[in-house]
Amino acid sequence: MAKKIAIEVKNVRKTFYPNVGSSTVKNLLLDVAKKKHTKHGSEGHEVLKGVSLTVEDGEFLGIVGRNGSGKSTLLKILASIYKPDKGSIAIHGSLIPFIELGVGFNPQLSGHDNIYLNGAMLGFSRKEIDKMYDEIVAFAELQDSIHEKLKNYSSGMQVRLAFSIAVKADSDILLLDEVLAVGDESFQQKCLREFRRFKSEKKTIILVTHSMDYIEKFCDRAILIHDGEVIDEGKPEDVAFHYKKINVENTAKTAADNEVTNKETGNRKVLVTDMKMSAVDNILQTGDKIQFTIDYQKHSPDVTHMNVALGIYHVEGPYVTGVDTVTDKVKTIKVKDSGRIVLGFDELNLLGGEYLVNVALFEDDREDPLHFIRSICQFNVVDRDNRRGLVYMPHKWRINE
Amino acid sequence: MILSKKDRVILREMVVTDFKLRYQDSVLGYLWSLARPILMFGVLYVVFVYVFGVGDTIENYPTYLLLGIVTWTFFTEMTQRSVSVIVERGDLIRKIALPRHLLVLAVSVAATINFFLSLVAVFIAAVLSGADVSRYAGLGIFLFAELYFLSLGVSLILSAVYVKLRDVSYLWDITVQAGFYATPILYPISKVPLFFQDYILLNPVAQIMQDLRYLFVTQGADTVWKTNGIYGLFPVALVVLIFVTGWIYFGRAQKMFAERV
Repeated sequence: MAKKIAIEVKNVRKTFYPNVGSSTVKNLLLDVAKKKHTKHGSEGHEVLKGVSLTVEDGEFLGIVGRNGSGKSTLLKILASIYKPDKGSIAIHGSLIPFIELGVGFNPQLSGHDNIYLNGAMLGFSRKEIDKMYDEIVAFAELQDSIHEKLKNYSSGMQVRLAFSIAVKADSDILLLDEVLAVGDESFQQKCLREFRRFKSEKKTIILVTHSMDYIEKFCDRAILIHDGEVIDEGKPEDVAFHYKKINVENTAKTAADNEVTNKETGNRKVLVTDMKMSAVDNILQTGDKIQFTIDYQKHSPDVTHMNVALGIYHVEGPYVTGVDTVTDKVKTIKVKDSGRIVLGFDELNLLGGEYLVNVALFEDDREDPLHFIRSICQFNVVDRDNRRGLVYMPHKWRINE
Repeated sequence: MILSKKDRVILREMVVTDFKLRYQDSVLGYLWSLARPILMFGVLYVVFVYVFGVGDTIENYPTYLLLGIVTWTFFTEMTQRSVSVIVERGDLIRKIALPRHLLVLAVSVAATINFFLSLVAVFIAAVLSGADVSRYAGLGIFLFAELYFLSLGVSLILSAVYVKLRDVSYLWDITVQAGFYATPILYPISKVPLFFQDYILLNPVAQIMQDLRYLFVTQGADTVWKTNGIYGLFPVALVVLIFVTGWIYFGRAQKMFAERV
């Protein structure tokens, strides 16, 4: 039997017009004077370019995408805060139309009053709140300060209170936008437990987040939105990986733009003419094989032998590793008029991040280089397991029971 | 106007919050909202009775004046507070899909509560200085309904336009200032130049105010029915028109609120 559909979005488009905000009579007159007062006042920016998706009943769907990709707009359309310009949305089941925690919170009121206020926004009557009041306060761990004004709460306390009310929300479908980025470690653990509970209760949940960790941990399925279009959909791990790749490509682009000049030094008797990396788009995964190909050309007949060195740096500074033919006791390299040297790493043990490569040619064991190029190339490593640090060190755990 | 149970709960919380915020940290609390019309009444009473000698021409002038002020205050409080309410509560508009008109309704409920509490002051004045209550006083409820829908219609229009055009707030402030004198709150119609006498009561607020005075204070009050006869239906029709326009216009404009505020 086909599963029940909870949300069906068909070809939704949405365009924003930057100048439709507030205006004054002066601006209005100016626009008329300049004859540019079109229907919307200015050119629009299409935020959603025909998005379609279906969410099954009881599914936990993650939506990822870079800032400005349109994912929050999509969520707001699902919550019917925005109306789509084109396309249709069908929602089967009750949906609480809020997308952020603590909607309606008023800093001038006490935590106690805010529970009732926010609770009303979520559809609870006073009586219903009365019944769960103690639970909410206990969950938020705010027993001591519940009668203080909200403005005296720390941001963490406010979020705790907001989350504690929100988890009481009794609807079939929940829309959540970046709710987990707050609170201390122990409260986050509590939030995660609630998530698992929602999941076990078979609620339909749509979560918009930047945390690939949450996507992989909770979601049954994920979609990737880029520039207002769904460009990937499927297993959370795959989508998360795709997202990371997009992110890396973007930072690489900006880094490349910034890096206008490579710093070169040396007496230039032998020159590195080309350097290639085996990775596609300079993106690798931890554990991948990697190969650097260095082409050189001799410009001075008196150089006979040379030493080739390659260094890898983390983009933020740390020198990760450096290898050279002399230290590695490779037989000395006879310099030809032109030639190629290949260096391969069978297993790249670098973890997620951006790395730079320096390459240098030295004449025998002399200190001054023939040719030294700093940041000759750059590559990015993506670690699908999100391990911390710069390098992966193979290891084993032994636990005494 | 049919509200779902959920909407009623939200409306109630909004109104409660509004009162809490207005009177928190103040000793006299609610009495302050009575103080304003009473103080205004005191000043105007002294000026118009002892300086201009208006009081003699109108029976039960203190009650007459106070009822006029309270009526006017309801209209201005509601409309002036509504102008910016959508923009001020942008946080709600952007984050939750609650019916937008609830925000304006919350203001209207608060103004209504204030109005009925202010009637206490009118009642005291009536006891002290006298009032001639008509046997048709029950019709007063229809007049209040007319006043309420007029104010609501104006509020809906103003709050929706304000989202696009902030000048509305200044414009309305000036209109209210002028309206205070263009409406026969302080003076009897007979003091108005003849030419204007035919038109002054076509203003719905004036029509409602004078009818209320006729029912509750003195049958000497000039009403639109006395001066304009059948044309007395004009202000009533205007109220219907304003309310319907406001409701429809707000309904259309609210679709874009979330993007604009």
